Amino acid sequence: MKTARIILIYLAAAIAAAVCGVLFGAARIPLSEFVQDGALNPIVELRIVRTAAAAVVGASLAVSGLVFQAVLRNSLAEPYLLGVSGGAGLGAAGAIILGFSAWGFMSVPLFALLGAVVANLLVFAAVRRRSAEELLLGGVMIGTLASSLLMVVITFSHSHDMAGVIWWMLGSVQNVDPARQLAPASILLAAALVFLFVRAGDVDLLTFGPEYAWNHGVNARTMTVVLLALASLLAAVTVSMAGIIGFCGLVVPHIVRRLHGGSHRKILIPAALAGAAFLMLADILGRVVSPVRELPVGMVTAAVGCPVFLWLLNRSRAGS
Amino acid sequence: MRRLLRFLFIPAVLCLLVSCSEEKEVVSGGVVSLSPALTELVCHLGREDRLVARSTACDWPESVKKLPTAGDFAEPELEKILSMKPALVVSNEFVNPKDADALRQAGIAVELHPCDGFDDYRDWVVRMGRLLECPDEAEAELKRAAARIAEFESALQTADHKPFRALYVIWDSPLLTAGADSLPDAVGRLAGLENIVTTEKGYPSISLEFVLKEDPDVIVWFAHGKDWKSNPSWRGIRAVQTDRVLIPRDDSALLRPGPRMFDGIADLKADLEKMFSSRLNSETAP
Repeated sequence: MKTARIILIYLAAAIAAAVCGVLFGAARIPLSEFVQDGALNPIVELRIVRTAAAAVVGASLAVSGLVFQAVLRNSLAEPYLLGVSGGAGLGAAGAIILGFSAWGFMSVPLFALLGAVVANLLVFAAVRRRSAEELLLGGVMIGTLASSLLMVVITFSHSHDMAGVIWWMLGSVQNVDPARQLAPASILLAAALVFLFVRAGDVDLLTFGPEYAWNHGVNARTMTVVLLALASLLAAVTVSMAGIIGFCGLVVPHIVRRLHGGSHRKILIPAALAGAAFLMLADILGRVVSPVRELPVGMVTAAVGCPVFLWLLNRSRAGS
Repeated sequence: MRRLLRFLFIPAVLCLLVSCSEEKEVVSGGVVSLSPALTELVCHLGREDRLVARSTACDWPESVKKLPTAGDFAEPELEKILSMKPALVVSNEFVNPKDADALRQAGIAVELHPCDGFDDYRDWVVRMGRLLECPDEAEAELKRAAARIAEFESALQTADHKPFRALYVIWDSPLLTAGADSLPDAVGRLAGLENIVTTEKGYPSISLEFVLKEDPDVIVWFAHGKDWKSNPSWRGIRAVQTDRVLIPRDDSALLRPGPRMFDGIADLKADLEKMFSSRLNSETAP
């Protein structure tokens, strides 16, 4: 199938998911009430923001996962491998429990971003040779250390603080600030997509190993660090926006690669669009299944992603 | 005749058993309270001198702050409590059962019961009156509580407006609220409020879209130190737009099922009347 046709199919799916995201939710709103007294219905406004946030977060996670899986040549690689989730969790928990959340709405996301970036920098600083495997191991170590510290912080927290930290870790796109969070994250995603599209050939070569890439004129070590840093930054920004959302960055790129092959120029945009559609649908499901309480989107991605992934895995095995 | 004897004998035996068990329930010695509401109740019943330690959250009356702390309601500091050798530890049901067993094995009486609403409060008053040998004070408190509740209920019946629909915000992110059978729900009802969360019990986390759909008249803000103004998600809520966000004068009086909750209800009621009467006046002004 031609690349343009594949992109169109994924684009149609993403648009359909976005439309559903605006149409469905806890409240039933007739189309005639979408605009009231010349202004957008606040419920519709809320849905538009969270649907856009789900799209950007889903796309960023899918792209991040795609890069991690390619560079580390490991289909189990996911966006949080280099200590992003542990660092961000520790940052957010610290902000909540030490009372910095009282400084304003943006304090928790900023501390989460800070925690993720610091964890990432620690990984890059601690691993001298900076080969993919060693960065991976360094990421696991720093992530484990951050997660242990997070548990210590949670142990000393009050019940409301603990609920805040746990809910933040489960992931949600409900409280995203369109100007201060969504806009910068969208710009970063767009820039990452352009960079990766241009350097897609290098990413392809890296999937065959650093020596192979080096022999084809790619500075493998520098490119590995740049790509992993970019992928981790994408993950860190999404974590600061919406908490820790699992499965999207693992399952979506894996499925897209299985369906359309390993050319990153061909699968980059479809993976981003599939990630966006997946997270928008997961968010809708969380809102519709439990309208009052609302299921955390991270829970829905795991609940939906796991069986779908296993089904696809078995199907492709049976086919081969 | 035999039937009559049996009719009189069985209740007599039961009464004897109950009175014996009541006698056994009396504890003499120090008391550790791990619940702020129970600490307030012990003091209100005139038994503050019996308290030897408190939880980290117990901060009323002011004088209890001088007492040493012994953990919180869920996690008592066992070694500290054991070293104090109290006769009784009181708290709600959240205490880890293993911790409670450890205290009991050390010969300390442990009283753990829910403390969530008016019924629980009445039970605790009776129980404390019995345990701390102050039945008269407990009786007086029961009468006072009944009189205050009757007073609020009668005011509700004669009110010239429907109850205001309210959202109780316990925490803003995630949005934790007070559900159908919670203490804020009960005290709010006596103050003239109707909770918009009717299907969920306890303290559920709810969606903003649900809040927008239900469109509460007023938001009672218990999220101490949190600011709804900096969160853009809150701006779409009409109660926020019209400045109908009420911060209780003393949220601990409304969140603790203790002797102060009736004063808390009266304050909340007065604040609501002030909020809505000024709004009404401004709306009807030429």
